[in-house]
Amino acid sequence: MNYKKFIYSVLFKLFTIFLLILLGLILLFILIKTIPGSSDIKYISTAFSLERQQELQNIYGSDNSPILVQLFKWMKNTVNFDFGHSTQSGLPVKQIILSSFLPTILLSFLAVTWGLLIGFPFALVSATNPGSKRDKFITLLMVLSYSLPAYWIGLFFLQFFSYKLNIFPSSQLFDIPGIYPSLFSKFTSVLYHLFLPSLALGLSFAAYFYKYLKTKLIDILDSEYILAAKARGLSAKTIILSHIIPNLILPVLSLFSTITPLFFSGAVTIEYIFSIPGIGRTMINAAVARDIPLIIGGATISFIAIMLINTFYDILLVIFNPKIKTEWINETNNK
Amino acid sequence: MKQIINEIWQNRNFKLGLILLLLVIIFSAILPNILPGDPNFQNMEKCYTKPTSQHICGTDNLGRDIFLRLIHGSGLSLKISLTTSLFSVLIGLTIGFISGSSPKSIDYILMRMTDLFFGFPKYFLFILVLGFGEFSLLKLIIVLSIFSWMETAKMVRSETHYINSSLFVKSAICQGLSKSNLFFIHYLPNLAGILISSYTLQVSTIILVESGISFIGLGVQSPNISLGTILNQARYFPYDNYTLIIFSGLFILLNVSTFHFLGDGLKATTNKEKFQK
Repeated sequence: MNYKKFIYSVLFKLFTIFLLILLGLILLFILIKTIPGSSDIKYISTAFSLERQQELQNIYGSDNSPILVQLFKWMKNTVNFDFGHSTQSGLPVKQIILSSFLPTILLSFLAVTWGLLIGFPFALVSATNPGSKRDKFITLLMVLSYSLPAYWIGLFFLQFFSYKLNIFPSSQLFDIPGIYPSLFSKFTSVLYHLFLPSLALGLSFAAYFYKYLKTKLIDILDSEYILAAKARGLSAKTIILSHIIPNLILPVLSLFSTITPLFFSGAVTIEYIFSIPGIGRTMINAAVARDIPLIIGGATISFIAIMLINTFYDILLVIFNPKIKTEWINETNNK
Repeated sequence: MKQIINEIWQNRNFKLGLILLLLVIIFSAILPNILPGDPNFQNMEKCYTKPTSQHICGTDNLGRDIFLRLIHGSGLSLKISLTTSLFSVLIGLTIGFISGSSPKSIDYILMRMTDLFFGFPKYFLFILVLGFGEFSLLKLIIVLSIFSWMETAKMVRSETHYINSSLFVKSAICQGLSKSNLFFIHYLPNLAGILISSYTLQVSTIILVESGISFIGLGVQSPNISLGTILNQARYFPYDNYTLIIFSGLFILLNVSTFHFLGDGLKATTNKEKFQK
């Protein structure tokens, strides 16, 4: 393999990602400028001394410099991860956003796990006997799970499992006293609290995964190496473990790269129902309180994170699949 | 052409979708205009009633008739999603076609733009745009369509590449057909299948997204009703009253699955029929 060319193409990829992030930031800036009004009136009273008014204006107030200067300033602040202070709590935006990322990422991770646990076996059954009664039943079930939004499932779970049966907590991540003897019990409490929300979200992911994995599985099952494996008399278990699953790694990886945005903003409704202190709930509260810096910071940080994670996936894909490597090199040479 | 219609007609998903579509039309287009009564009429003496002969689906926390609210709400939800999908398919067609028929550098730039839009955290931008200023349906529709054209664009692009390499386009170019004629005579009819199927599939996703946004309280505002705003009230219901959850779930299920089945059926047949002529 031609390593020099490959490294060149990776650099080219990184450069385009950099340009894309820059472009995205400009688009975000335009969006931000369309927000009417500003939040400074709420905090700056004429009863303050002039110095104090000026100080508050610098922290919370809107900027009156020319638009290009503002854009440049905003870029500079974004590079420094400085989005100002929240107008609700006065804390730095960076701190609020970063601390609310953890619950969301944990929730989405659990939901994706549920989605794969439900979607993959169903896809396997459907793909191995297409057209059978079982396949039709599963397809119907998956249309159901696709058509019902996650928050509907969440509301139903909430009403049935936590209000009626009272076996799962209905909100937050910790019990009310919030005192745990060890880190482990704290962690299990979080998992216990996240059980219903992640299952609700996972059920809506499952339909998506099922559809995607089914088509990929049918492709794989049609291929000649599976036929050869069957002809050699390998058991179904061996075929699944050593022929089907390794070939599924790539599609699953590219599936993950399409759902990274969901990792950050897909759980908004679920967080809203279950009062999970994640990024989605923070953003909704910020919108209600007109906390503009917080919303801007949240959107920007998650946008940059999504782009970086997708780049990481791309590079991971190349490591797993040499075919894409040549594609990249060709792409770069064409420019 | 006749053969294609026959083929579509024989698809079971499509037939099921058509039957469901009839139900959707009855429930969300005809009934709201026929049935008397104001969906926002409150009767505080009759909160949380279970289904009776007077209120088929019971009443909600403010004593409003749930059935009336649901048919009006699903009507508005459908209006929003039908127009939004139209816009998003048009944007997708424009970008996908330009990208598919342009030199590689422009294609590359447009495709990276598409990736960029894929990468935006959609819900946060909805919050950013819809959370401030006055709410209007037009704003909601524009925002929704700006962030939902990407899949159509990718499909149109690959289809355009496919058509580019076909003989009839090459011979048409040799005969000196102008670019606009080429588009309307050769590309558009061949792209139509993809456009229609992605339109119907898009409708079902937009219903879900729109009701999600309205559920959070950022989408449709009262006195307008959408499926999401109705469902929002379910959070206030007592634990043994499932009426609102069940019935609004059924309505969302009906609306989404109808367009899902229709789109699936159309997609299956258009993919099979591709370039048999």
